[in-house]
Amino acid sequence: MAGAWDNLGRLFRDGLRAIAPHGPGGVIAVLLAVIGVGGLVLHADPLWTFIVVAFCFGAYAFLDERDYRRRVTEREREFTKTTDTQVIASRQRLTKRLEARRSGDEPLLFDETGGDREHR
Amino acid sequence: MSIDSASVLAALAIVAVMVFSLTAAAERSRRHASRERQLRRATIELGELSSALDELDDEATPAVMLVYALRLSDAFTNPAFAAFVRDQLAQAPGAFDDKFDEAKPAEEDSELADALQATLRTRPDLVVAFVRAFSAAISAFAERWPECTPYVEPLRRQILAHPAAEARRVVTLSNRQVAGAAPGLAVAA
Repeated sequence: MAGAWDNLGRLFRDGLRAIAPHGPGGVIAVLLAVIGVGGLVLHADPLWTFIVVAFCFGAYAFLDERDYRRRVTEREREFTKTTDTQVIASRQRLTKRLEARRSGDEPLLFDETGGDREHR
Repeated sequence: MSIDSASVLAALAIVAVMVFSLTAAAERSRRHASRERQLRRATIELGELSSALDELDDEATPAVMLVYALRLSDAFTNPAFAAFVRDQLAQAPGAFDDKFDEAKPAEEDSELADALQATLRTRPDLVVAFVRAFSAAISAFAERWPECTPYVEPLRRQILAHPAAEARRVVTLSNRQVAGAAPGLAVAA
């Protein structure tokens, strides 16, 4: 019997390790399911157990999705920040060259630099 | 210890919800990894754009090429332009198809086309840098805002054959976006 529990424990730990790379969401889903099934084994009311567990799943999924979107947006900014800055610096050098080349009364073709706006 | 059928049913339902959650978490993780790869490629292309713009920072670069390089790099790194293209595509998915498939030789007869032709004879490296900047800007734009790919793909096909005409079209579209965003700043290409 002790061997069976050990095997079960190892299976559980391996399972958690396998889902860990997908973030805490997977681990929490497994823990909630284990708690729910454990409650049923201990004769908790089936309907209420399911309602409580499903509510916890839903609440966690909602909060996690919101946090995930925020993190993705931040990460996207981080990724392109340095290169965006490089491009802006290059654009500024070109703008200076263009301005230096133009005489005061020469008409512009159009809004040539795009206002040299920084898009943040 | 007896377990009734309602408990078994509830346990199965809980396990089903768990499997669904795990699948959703795995799918989201996969999407995130894919987005990271796209952004890595975008940063490489932005670095390429920056280096091409630096090459164009040369006394021999004609003013019109500088102007277009600035406008193109501005449009293709601008989230507002991406949103504008996305809106246009949402309203009419084929909005940009016909404009790029037709051969429009008249549009090649522009100041930019003349400047590219003249520079090709004297400083071909500057023309290469211009096309490289254009191409890198398009690629970075497509990687950052993949939903705009239907707009970018025809550009990619035409850029080597008709760089001047394609540059004009992008700048014209960018002007429409700027005019829509801030009336009064409208400009004509």
